[in-house]
Amino acid sequence: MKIRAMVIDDSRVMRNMVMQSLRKTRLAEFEFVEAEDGADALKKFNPTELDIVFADWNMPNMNGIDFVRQVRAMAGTGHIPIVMVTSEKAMGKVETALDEAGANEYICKPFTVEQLERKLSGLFNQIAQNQQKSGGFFSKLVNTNA
Amino acid sequence: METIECRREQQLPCALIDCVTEAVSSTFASIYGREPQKKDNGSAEVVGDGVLGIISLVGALQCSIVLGLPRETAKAVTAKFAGFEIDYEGPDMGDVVGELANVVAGDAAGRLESRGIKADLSLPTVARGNDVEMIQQGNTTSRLVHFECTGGSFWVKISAETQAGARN
Repeated sequence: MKIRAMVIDDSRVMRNMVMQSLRKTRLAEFEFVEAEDGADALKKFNPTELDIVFADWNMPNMNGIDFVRQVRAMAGTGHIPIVMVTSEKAMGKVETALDEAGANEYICKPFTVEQLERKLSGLFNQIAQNQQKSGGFFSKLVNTNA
Repeated sequence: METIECRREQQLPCALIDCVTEAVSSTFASIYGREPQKKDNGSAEVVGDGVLGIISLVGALQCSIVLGLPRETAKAVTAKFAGFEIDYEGPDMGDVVGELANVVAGDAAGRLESRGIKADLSLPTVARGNDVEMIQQGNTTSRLVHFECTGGSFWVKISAETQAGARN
């Protein structure tokens, strides 16, 4: 499965760590879009070209949680999972991200490749199903035209 | 939300010291697979040639956490944390030490929350140089805790407003 993922973090090293760790998982083959903060991510965000988003919380300009709120306020973005990858460990923050803002998963730094696989396998199954559905949809179009 | 009270004037709250030192132990244990050892090194905080990661917690308490890493410790710890060598003189060193300070403070904030004390994190600041000294302001008091991990020795300085200067 090929996945187009956006990685948002103000730290270039952390973005690389997230991307390297994801590549080490056996979840998918990745293609990445990088963003330095929430504002940069919003500019680059295109729901038709993304399968999943990984967002840090504490960033300058626009933080990760405001980015999630803004994305979830847009129409047609509900099918794109957003994963918070953050050092914020307080339960209140986890609840804000998952229950109020609309993030789908919460991963605390530092993390291991195994932890990523465990936390993300359900979301990646969902993405695979979505891709199959849209594949089915396009196949039908091709068959109808034929 | 609980307002932290100092045990007595000029002392830091026990909860804050406990939560930060437990956060340091937990963070370095997750990096190295074993907890760092706490050391009794008195009050010396100068790292010589090294890097400081500085972050503040604001909310029910006003405090700052400074992670002091001598050069060789910084090189070893950041390489282990990132999974690849980080150039000591390059901008990535600031990135990783800032992230480490962030992870420690995030862990401490989680522990404080479980004791009923809510606190938000600032963005981290990083300083690199020789004999960099953090100057303490009038109403704050500090505790310095030294550690030894597989990557070398380092310290954490926890500073907060004393009862006399605490905001409610």
